[in-house]
Amino acid sequence: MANVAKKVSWAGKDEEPRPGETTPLINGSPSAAHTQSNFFRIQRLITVNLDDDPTQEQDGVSAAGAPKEISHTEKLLSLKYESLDYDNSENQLFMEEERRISKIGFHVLEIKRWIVCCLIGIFTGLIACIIDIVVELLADKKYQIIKENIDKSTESGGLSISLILWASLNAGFVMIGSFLVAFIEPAASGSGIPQIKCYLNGVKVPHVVRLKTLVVKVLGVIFSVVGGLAVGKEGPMIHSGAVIAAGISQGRSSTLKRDFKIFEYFRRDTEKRDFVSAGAAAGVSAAFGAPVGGVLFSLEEGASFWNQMLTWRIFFASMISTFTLNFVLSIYRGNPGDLSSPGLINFGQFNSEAAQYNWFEIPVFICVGAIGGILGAVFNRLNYCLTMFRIRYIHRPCLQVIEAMVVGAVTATVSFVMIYAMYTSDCQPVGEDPIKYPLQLFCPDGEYNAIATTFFNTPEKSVRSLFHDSPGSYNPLTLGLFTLSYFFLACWTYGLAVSSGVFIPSLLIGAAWGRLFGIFLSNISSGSTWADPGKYALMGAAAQLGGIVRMTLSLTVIIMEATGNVTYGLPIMLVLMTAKIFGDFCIEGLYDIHIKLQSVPFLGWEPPEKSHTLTAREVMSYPVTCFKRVEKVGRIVDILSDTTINHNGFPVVDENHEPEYDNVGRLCGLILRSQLIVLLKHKVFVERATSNLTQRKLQLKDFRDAYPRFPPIQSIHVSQDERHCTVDLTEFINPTPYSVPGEASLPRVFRLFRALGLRHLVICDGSNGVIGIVTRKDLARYRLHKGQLEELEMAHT
Amino acid sequence: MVGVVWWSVLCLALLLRGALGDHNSSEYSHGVATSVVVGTRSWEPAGWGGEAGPRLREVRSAAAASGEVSDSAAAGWMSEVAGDWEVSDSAAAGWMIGWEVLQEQAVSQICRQLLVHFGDTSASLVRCAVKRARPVRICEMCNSHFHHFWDSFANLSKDAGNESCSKQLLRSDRLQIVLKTRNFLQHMWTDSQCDACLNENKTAPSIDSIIFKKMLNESLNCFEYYSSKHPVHSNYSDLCKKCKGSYDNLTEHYNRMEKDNKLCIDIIDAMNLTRQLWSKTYNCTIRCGDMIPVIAVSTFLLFLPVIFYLSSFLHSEQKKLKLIEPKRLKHCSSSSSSITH
Repeated sequence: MANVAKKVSWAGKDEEPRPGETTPLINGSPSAAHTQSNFFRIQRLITVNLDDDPTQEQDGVSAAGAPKEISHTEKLLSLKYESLDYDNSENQLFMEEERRISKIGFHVLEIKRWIVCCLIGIFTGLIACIIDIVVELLADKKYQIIKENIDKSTESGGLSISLILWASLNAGFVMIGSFLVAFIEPAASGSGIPQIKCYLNGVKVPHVVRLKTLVVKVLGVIFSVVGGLAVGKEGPMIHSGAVIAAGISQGRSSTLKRDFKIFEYFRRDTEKRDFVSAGAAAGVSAAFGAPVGGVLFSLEEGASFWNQMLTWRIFFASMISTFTLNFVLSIYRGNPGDLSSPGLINFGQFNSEAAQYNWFEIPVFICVGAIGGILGAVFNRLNYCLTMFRIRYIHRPCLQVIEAMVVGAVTATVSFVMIYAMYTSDCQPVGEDPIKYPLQLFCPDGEYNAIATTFFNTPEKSVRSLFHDSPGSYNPLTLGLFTLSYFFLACWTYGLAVSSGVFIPSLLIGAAWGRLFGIFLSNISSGSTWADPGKYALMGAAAQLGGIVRMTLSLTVIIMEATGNVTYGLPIMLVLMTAKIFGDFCIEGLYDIHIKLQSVPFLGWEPPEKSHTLTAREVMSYPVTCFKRVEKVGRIVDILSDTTINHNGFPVVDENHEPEYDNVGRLCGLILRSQLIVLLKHKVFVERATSNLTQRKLQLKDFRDAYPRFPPIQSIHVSQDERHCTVDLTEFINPTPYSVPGEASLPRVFRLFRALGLRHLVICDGSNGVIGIVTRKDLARYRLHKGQLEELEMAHT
Repeated sequence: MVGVVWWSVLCLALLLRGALGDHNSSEYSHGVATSVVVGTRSWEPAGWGGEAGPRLREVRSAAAASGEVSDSAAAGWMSEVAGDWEVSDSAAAGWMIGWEVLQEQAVSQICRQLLVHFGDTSASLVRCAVKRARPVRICEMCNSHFHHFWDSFANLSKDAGNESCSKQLLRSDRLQIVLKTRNFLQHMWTDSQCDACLNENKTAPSIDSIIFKKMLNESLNCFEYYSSKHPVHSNYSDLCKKCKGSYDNLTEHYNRMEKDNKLCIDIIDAMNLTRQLWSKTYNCTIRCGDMIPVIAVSTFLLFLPVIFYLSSFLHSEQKKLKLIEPKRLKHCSSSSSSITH
């Protein structure tokens, strides 16, 4: 009871809006005089430790000094990420508009959704075509030049010049791609899948769905693939699809400052996010020719919010996208109307006799899966260390560009040295397998260097030839060296400031060691027909990819669709399952690692285990900054422009009820920062309304027009006179925000948050008085680490 | 209670009877099926013996007459197979009387003649192609055979008078020997890409291939001349110096033809063999290794990342992050809440 009394005493005074007076009241806080100003600016109280065990009290340490400075670790949450407003603000304006929409209006909306999905599919397919065609043309040119040069210099000397030419061509292309990414739009770096995963999870990743990002992404991926890096163009397609979806569904582009005045109803996070999941699916389906895989990818990676009609629409978008890609490519390749080669990468048909599998091969496949899982874990661990180093030391854009160029040059050098050193061991006669750039080098006339074909090609082509070339066309030593070098190159490349996918490099590594495994098997089984290297290359590719990205359902279906062979479903599933089990035992999937390293407040499927001991009261933010129903403009402006607070949602309390105990007043609604900014911008002040009757009533449209980039508070000018005006928030607040009592457990709050896609959850006491607020970051802070619940720190990054 | 047990026993018995009955009926149908199979089987030997026997003998005699089969093992195999068929021939002799009737029923006289002609042309084509299998010269030497073969097939599939030979010969049975033979030989033609090095009428070699042949002869003559002079091939002998000009010309012309897609199997094979002669037998391919410059440049390039990472580790200041401590209710209240619930 004493505790409660104490609470009353200091919380009762806390209702004073001036935070300076609250600070001396902090109990037991050893705050020294010199830290006080700092302290009240941040307006913080002491952190709660997880356990009730008081021996773990570290608060004294953290509160005593000035804000601690640390270098980047994975145990951080960045403050630059905000949540999406998936939950509609059901204020009076919204209700009025919903009432106005007739029955036909709803049908029209539904039809518009379908139209948007169709457009998403078409444009995603077209982007995929552009990438494919440009990469093909440029890569062709590059390899022609290098091949001619090497051919010339093997006869008359000057191979070192060829090496320099190759390395500098690579570095040049990579430099352009990396420059675009590092200086113009850093959000376009990497495969974009982690970012899209976060977006679909409900995190607003800055700049991730802008048109500028799309342009940089497309150009960046073209240059990095042409630059010969160990990257693929498939991952970025998913990001591109998502950006296209976000752009089209809004009917305007803020980058181009064009508004087409269409699809205005869809200008809010709820609708946009559904379309983004359709775009991601369309991207997958364009990349792999796997429409079902695309839908399942959206389901697996992002769909916290899913319904049957949405699934059907997403499937429609995926189909349209793969169809468009197919159609345009068929025209480009000169046989218009032939729709039988879907996807940017096509694994080709596995129809031969030896490509069938027998029951006794199942354990062998499982072994392949285990190897894939372990190698994937090694890959992820190395990449984790490397990414950490990059975040800490290579954060300046020019350094990032130089790093990418170095990687490009080294990739060329490694390839060249490999080809150069292996010249005697592996020469194959020209003409047995179709080779695009047969490089003779030191082979006798009429033969080509077999190791050159694996390096001297775009990764997609290499994957295909590993799957389908006749059993004798690769020498085991060649393959072994190739696997080793490509493994490290791919691991080194992922995470550079270039747009790059990790799918194709993983498939290539896996296909190489899988083929090696197949050759080994056929040797020990003394040439029996079942051990087809091509089949094992496929299984190895699946295992390696599964071991790195740890996707399950969608990856199985994607690979199944890309091979066009349903009977491979079972072995692929087993392989991926084993790979995931073995990999998860060691380290998480690559995308999850990168999400963690980016300090994103990502909410998993389930609340962290062992978190039942925590209650909402312990995790919530306290004290809450609240507004009254009729609030002074001056106070609103002050609170919004206080950079240290940076809240986005403010509970609105009833001014007629006096605050009691530790609450700050009775909850009667919630208002968002974006809404307040629009109100201030339009100067919807009570005093103005009476003086200026001509001013029209604010509508929902005004809020939509400002979406998604609401102007910052600094750009809104409020005069000294206006500061004394008041705003009536009644019409604009969401009168029915979700709230839970403070005794609710963390898992309960977490599930509510995750299932409804909330952004703010108000914590109330028994009489509906606001005592605190829970946001995404408050929940994402708790994470299970080595069997212990740990609490992450927050920082500006 | 007793009633229920009785009822279930009755049901069980009924079920069993039903199952047994089904079993019987299926066995019955199975029996019918096997008897049908036996029936068809009994026809097969007659068909095989009657038709394939004479034909194989024909092929064998053709082979013997041309005297091409010099390999003793192959000859042995042939005679063995032929012996086997001799036996089956005599076994099938009993059927031959009825056979005549069937033959008239199946094929008319005109069509039969066409069929025989088709057999002759395909046999001669096969003979020609096999003879020119190594080194491949099928486009050059068997061109006229192909034309005869196509003509005879065209006659066969054309309607002669009021009878349709194509129906009688091509689509009357499951095996479709004529079509299979034709497809096989046609496939050989398309795979050899002979069209590429023949002129428009496909009757004579194209100008490019004639030039190629001339150049090839030049090179080969040169090779022959110098290799007879110095039978031992050291690295880069006299031959290489003297014949380099003609060999380079040949390669250049070949590459040009390759670019224009004018290569057929004859030329590809000839070129492959010549290249092997040049680089393996005479060891004339010399390559500039450039060992030291390549090693130097690649070592430099491979050291770039080491330099880069070391310098950025040493010189780049580490980004420091300011921790923001979240606002929380005090610990005492949390313990109080844990007391209250």
